[in-house]
Amino acid sequence: MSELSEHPDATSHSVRWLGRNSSRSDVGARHQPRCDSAPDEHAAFAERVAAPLRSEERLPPDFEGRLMAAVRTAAPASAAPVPASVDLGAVTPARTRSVVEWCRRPRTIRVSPLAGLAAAAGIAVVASVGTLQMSGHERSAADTRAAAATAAGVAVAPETVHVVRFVLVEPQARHVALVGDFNGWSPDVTPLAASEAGGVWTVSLPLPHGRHEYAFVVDGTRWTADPLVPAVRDEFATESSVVTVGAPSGRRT
Amino acid sequence: MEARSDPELVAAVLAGNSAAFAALVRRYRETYTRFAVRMLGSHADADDVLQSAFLRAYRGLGSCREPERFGAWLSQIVVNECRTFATRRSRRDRRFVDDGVLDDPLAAVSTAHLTDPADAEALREEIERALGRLVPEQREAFILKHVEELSYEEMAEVTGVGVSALKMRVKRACERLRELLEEVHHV
Repeated sequence: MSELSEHPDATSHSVRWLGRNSSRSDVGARHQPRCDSAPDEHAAFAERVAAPLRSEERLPPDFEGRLMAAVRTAAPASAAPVPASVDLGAVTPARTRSVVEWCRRPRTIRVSPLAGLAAAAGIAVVASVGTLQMSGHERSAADTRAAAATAAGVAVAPETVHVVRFVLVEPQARHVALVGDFNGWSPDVTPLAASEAGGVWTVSLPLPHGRHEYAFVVDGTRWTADPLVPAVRDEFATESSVVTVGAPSGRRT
Repeated sequence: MEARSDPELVAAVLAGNSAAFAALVRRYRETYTRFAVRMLGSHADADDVLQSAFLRAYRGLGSCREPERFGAWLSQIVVNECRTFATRRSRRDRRFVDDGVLDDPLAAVSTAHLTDPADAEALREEIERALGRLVPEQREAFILKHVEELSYEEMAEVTGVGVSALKMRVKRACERLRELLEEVHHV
């Protein structure tokens, strides 16, 4: 395995952000004082502050050993694409009874996606169904299945598509984002949309089969677990919520 | 010995060779260590977050649709992990609690001998404390721009945030850092 473990960059001070690779001397050459959109004095200030922070930092020697031990016990990495499958269950909290009831009603749609077009068509259909559900319209799974089959052109072995709707009632919020293991816990990826009347924030998205941890970020700073389900503590001892996609009742814990 | 490329290593991992993932870890970990330590202000936290980030990358490697751009894909995971951790901790007001300066970080800053060029370590520590006073979004933008020296276009790809917003975050970070440091220590 030595050919795997050795690499020209392994012993150099490489910089590989975005795969970019430049030597330390290259980096040094780039140390031009700057603080964009600010005068030179601001740029010089930024440089004085940043320069001491460029010193190297090292991880403990056992970092790799601990990580690889976890890797060996983790589910194996898979080349399989994200399954075209999503649960139309709802998540979250809401003090509004009808929304809560809607949330607690899991919906699973069976579609027959083909590669490429089929998968895209399946997702589009599911997203449409989610919107209709929130509008109070009903569409049967059979209709959805038929529509997907039509879009696909040819029926193949059906796959389950899960769309999960997340709902949070926050009348005072100006912005709500969904974060979870499905979006890298990024508050910039999955914003929720507010209802016209305000206060009810929702978003629907396809999720692969399995267990997913999530939470909401309100106004960019306030971390909020789903108030309708028991909170769990993650590896950082922070409360989050869990939705299990594909569970018999769209279980949330 | 000729090294394998990122796409070759990714393919090997997906074929079940976990040792290939160890090679990817060794290739990239140093790049992100400094960012994580500066972003989180703690080697222990950086260790935890990088462990989590690499493990998430391993579990999600099948969704890396452009293995030739594995570095860019991994960068996004690391930045997101650090940001999330910082945001969570910000909510809990735990930043630098171990240093015992949570109530008034500036009080600690004022003890530094920033005018003494020989005391580089003290200077760095005080700057880190000031950096820790920034909101996570501004801290992340400042570090990526001025410490890691990414272009705004690169920052946009890593963070998923628009260039204009990033420029504003960096500008505000500079202004806030000036407030925290310059008036007291003439940095």
